[in-house]
Amino acid sequence: MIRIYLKQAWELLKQNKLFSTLYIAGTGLAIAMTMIMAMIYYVKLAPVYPEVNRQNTLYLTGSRFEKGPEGNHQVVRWAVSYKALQEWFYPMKNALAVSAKLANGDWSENSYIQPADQSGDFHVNVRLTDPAFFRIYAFRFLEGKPFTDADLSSGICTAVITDELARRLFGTTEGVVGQTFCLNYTDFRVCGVVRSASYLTSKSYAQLYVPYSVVSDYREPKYGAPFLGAFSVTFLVENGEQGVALRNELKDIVRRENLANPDDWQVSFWEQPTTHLVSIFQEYVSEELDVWATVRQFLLVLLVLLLVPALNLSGMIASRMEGRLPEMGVRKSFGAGRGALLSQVMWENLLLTLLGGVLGLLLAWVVLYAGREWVFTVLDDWADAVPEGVEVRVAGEMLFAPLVFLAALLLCVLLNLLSALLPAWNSLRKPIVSSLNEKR
Amino acid sequence: MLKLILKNLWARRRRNGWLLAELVLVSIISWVVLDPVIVVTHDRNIPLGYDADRLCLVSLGALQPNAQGYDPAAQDSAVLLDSYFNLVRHAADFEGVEATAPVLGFCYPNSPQGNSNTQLIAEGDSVKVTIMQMYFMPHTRFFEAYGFKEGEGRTLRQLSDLNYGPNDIVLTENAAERLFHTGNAVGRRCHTSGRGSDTTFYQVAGTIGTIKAYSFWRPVPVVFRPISSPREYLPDDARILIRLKEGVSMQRFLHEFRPWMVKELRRGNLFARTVLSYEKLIEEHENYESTPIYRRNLAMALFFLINLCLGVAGTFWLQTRPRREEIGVMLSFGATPGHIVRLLMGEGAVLTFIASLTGFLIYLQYALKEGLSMSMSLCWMENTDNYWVSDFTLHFLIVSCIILLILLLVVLAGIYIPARSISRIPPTEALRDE
Repeated sequence: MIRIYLKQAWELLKQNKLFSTLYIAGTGLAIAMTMIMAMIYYVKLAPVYPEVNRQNTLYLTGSRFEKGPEGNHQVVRWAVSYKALQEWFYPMKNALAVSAKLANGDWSENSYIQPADQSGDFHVNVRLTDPAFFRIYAFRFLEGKPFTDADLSSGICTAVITDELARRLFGTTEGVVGQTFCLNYTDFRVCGVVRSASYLTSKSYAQLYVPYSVVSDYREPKYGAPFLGAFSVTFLVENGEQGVALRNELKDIVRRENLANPDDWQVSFWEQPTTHLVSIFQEYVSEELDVWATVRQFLLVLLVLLLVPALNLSGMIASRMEGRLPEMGVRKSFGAGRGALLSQVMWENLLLTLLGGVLGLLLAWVVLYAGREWVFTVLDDWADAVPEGVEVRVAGEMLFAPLVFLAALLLCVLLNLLSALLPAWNSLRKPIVSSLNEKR
Repeated sequence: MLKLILKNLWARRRRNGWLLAELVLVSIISWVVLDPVIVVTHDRNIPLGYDADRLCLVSLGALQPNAQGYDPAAQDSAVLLDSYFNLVRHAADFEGVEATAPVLGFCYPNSPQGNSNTQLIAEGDSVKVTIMQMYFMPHTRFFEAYGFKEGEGRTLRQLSDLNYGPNDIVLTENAAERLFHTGNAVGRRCHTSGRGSDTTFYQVAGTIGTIKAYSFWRPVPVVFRPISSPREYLPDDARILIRLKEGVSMQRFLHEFRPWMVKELRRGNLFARTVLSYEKLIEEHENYESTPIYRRNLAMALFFLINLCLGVAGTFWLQTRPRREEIGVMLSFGATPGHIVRLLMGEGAVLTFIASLTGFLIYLQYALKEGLSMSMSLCWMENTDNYWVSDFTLHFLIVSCIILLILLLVVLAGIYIPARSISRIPPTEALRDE
């Protein structure tokens, strides 16, 4: 029966070209907008190279230390120090891997490479980290391997570079391991070459990865609080339960530390380490994420984006139904129930909506690819412009994921229901005789 | 014709009801979405007050001890300063350069690093004026290099060449108006609202034309203070401002300047690292703060307006069949196709008017409570000068008019083609359907 409906729908489509075009265009636009939003969030949330373990990755990026009585109260906020890494984080039992990143201003923001051909320094994005970083993020090594714990403790100047940087420095990605380049006037030796992460995966993106021990004062805490420093920590756990256990382990450490030194710095990490999902929507680590408010906000946006087109399409369908009253009258007089007629109308509209959905999806892909430098940050409040010389790569897995297609299909069905149900139901209530008598 | 239009609209009120509802919704959404866009566009188009399209900024780097060519003797304070000023002079020798000036610190027009502000009180007055601070070096033709407009009192040349005491300042015209209620404030004094018994008085040495501290802000009061110890800014916060000659293309200049700069612009342990045109600097900073919201809102506005257009076109086109007789009768009584088109467009226009008025009235209730879109600068400081965006009534009326015009355009565009096709029906065919 459904096949007949679809065949009939196809014929109707060809006969009423105008209506179909307008309907498909309207649907396409609505689907395109919602799919663009969906894909922007997909790139932020779904497992994408090299952040393939996003659902099991947790982050700790902030801390708060306070001490002193009323009148001489001091509060400092930043992250954690090397001492905290050694005593608290690296030995944690409830994590598969623990990696720290040093956010030292000069090295991570102001690093320049001095190329061998003297053509002028260029700025590079450096990540100061440890060997565990490559266990958490599944980088593909084209050559060589990551630097080792021995490298980290000795402070040797070695680096893992991306294939893009290798091509820029040496012209090739082969035979590059062992060569040297000059970073901030220090000679660094290449120990590995990886396939570059996309600029859009900001937690793992960098142009080169260097052990944090190259910074001379990495062991020093900041502001006189022994556990306060510039290291932020990333954890890889096995599953959700271990994540909860990890959080409790940290709470235990914090409680013990605060009780042991009641007159010294009191530390607080709030609800960290946070999961990836929460970290995307949470503005400040110190505030608890109001899940319902976030969900409500998204539902509202979705509703508005689908409602206005649905209103349009309803109007158009209502007009169309008027023209089909005689046909409905005839079928009713031959015994068709209201349900059967309604299902026919809905299937016909579904065909049109699906066609519109395909158009919308294509449009969304084109926009996301053509505007990749700015589209992915258009929903954020503050957006860093893509630095010069950096190419924003939008991988196929980001745009063509199965989840994306499923989402598009669901949206189409939702839009179809919103726009077609009411007008169709309304028009089918007319009695048979007056339907048959309708001239138009 | 208006009576006929109103009768027609009422006759098909069920169909037009949908359209009216959609128009009301779109007019409210347009207000929400286009208000910030209009305000930001307005603010961006206020003149900068200086000539940014012929300026570029060179940032410097310093050789580290382990670098090749490092000279430990050149780390001496005096030698570093000397190298810096040498670089500034040397850059002026390049072809196409009209003037160069040193820019120290992070407080300069459109600085992406941040800014500094303070509060000043005019002598004898008690009103605190929040004012932005910027720093300059005397005797370096700073004001001419930037291309500020001259204010009353002293010329730019005189301002650059003055022997400044530590408490002499230069104000922008709007700051002078705010503090002293006059454009010529030479010799007047003001002080900060400091605690303690000693108040330092600042004496105004001259004024320059009003400038915008940031390209997407409205003009705010600015004070320029002379730098007394330039050494502390080297090398990270020391830049060179380059002003190009008239008629020199910025792109070509940068293309030729960069390689020369990398090789030649080095003195002691200082060297020129990057050069950026002021326009690029402005664009990058705007990208960070105001462009995302601009793009987001424009995209949403476009989405809703296209939907509206489709909806209107669809509704009117699908009315072709039902209205054949009526149009046939009118044509056979002597109406021209143009008349029919105008009739249909009139229907659309009246619908839009009614819907927009309703939508605007609804939005007004919200706006009276929450206020209209503000400029980004108002988060920090009050702006001087009166712009229509700051006045509630004017702002509301003007933006409403703009949105009404946009909606009318979209609706009429959507109606035009169906209207044309309806109006071309031969009357005999139309009447035959009777």
